[in-house]
Amino acid sequence: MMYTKAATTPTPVTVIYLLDVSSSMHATMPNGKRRIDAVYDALDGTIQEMVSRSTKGMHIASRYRVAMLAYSTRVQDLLGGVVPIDVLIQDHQGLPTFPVDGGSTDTAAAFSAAERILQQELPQMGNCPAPLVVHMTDGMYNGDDPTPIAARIMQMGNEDGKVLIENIFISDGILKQPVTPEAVFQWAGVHPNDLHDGYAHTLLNISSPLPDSYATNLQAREYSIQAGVPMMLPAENEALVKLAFTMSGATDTP
Amino acid sequence: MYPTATPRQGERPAYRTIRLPQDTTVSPKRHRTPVADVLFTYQRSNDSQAHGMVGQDYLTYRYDAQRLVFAICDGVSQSFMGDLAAASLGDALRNWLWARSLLPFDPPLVAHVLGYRLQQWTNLATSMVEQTPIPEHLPRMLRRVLETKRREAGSQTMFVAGVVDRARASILICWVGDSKFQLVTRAACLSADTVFHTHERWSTNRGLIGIDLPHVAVFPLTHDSLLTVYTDGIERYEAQFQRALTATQLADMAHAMRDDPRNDDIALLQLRIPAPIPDP
Repeated sequence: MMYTKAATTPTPVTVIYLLDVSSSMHATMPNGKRRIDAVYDALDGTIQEMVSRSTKGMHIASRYRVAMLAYSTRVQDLLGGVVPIDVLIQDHQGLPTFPVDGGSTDTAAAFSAAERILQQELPQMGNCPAPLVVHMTDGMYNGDDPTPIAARIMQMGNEDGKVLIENIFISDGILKQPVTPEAVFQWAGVHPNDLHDGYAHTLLNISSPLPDSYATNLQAREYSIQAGVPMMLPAENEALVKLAFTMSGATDTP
Repeated sequence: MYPTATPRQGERPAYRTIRLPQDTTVSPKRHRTPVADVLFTYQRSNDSQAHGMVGQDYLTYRYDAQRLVFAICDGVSQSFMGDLAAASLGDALRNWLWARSLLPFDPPLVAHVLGYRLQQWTNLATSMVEQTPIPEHLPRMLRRVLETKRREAGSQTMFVAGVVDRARASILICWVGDSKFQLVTRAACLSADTVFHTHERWSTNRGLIGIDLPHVAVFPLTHDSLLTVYTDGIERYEAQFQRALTATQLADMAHAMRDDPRNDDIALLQLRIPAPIPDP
């Protein structure tokens, strides 16, 4: 059995967010909201959910450790490393502002930064849940192909399993048959045949299968997503963005 | 000897009440009562001890010469201050079961009457939860999370409560959620078919969640019996609860749980109940 360890204070789960903040993130979604704002709200909700799942009485147990790397032409470490959830909300007062700027989309540099973090952190994660890298982007990379780096990351791991990679692709026209906001809770997850040709297939190939434990926790939140589907979210609307970030906080807890 | 006991003032007490405090670890202790030999313990989780927090389980019992009433509650940590619901409901269940000495041991009837009470108790409990201050010095996001939990979930708990009644030669047990009990005699495990569900709980805001009425069962007390009631913090050892534990064995189990990353608060009550002597 893999991916069965729970996130606890002595065995926290590490989640590394790679956030594309290139200027195209200013584009709006079907509901008129800017992509970057939808991402910020969804991630803020996920951090709140992590806090909620870590709270006992009025104390926060350090069940989650989080890193946030914003990238465009360069990679910016928004938290100064991997930060326990209690430190994130005490010292950083929650989610930092995203530095949206112009420039290119150096996805390979972001995955390289995640790889370096994992190389440093994994030796201390023996008994912890497998870490998760969450990559959010709204377009094709510039520069080097990130897939070889992502493939290397997917070969890293610990006792609980290989490092998981989730990709959140915010764009229009990704799916042949769109998933409406109303249908998100009935959606079973993405299948390769559902996707138009293009970058979505590249991201699909560097997305881990959804572990049983994650699917169970998502189903407890009334989603219908099934274990084994690729952790690739074609986020064509805000409801799918929310599902995508909810998935990133779905490690089992006691 | 016991953390909290409340005999009546001024005269020989008609009954005695034991309430284990939620802010203290209570090592396994034996206590001989007229109804049963009692073994109990209360252990806070590593997290609770490390941060000076109260545990979210609760254990209380009351006895006289003929009856012993007990309640064990497991506060839900994902709710708002589960320790509040656990303590308030534990006391309410103990008092209610004690006061209803004439209530027939009829499971459907008890389920309906108790179900009504569980809904009524939300009134008092809700105001208690609403009056619990959330300190200003807490981080903004934590305050927001706590306010949301208080508003949407309330304080929640699971429970097992019951009466051992020698005069009726019966044991009545009520429960909601996955706090468990095992009742065994030399001949059989009487509780073998009992089911426990994690999604069931009682909320100070909403009353019962995940079930319409509490589970109620009545068992005969015609043989020497062993009743063990416990929260999920020690269920890893439940296969061993079909025999009488020593305080040392229970202490070893509780100690071993401290090495488990998932360790949780523990409340356990084991009653060795001799069969009542039949009337001539």
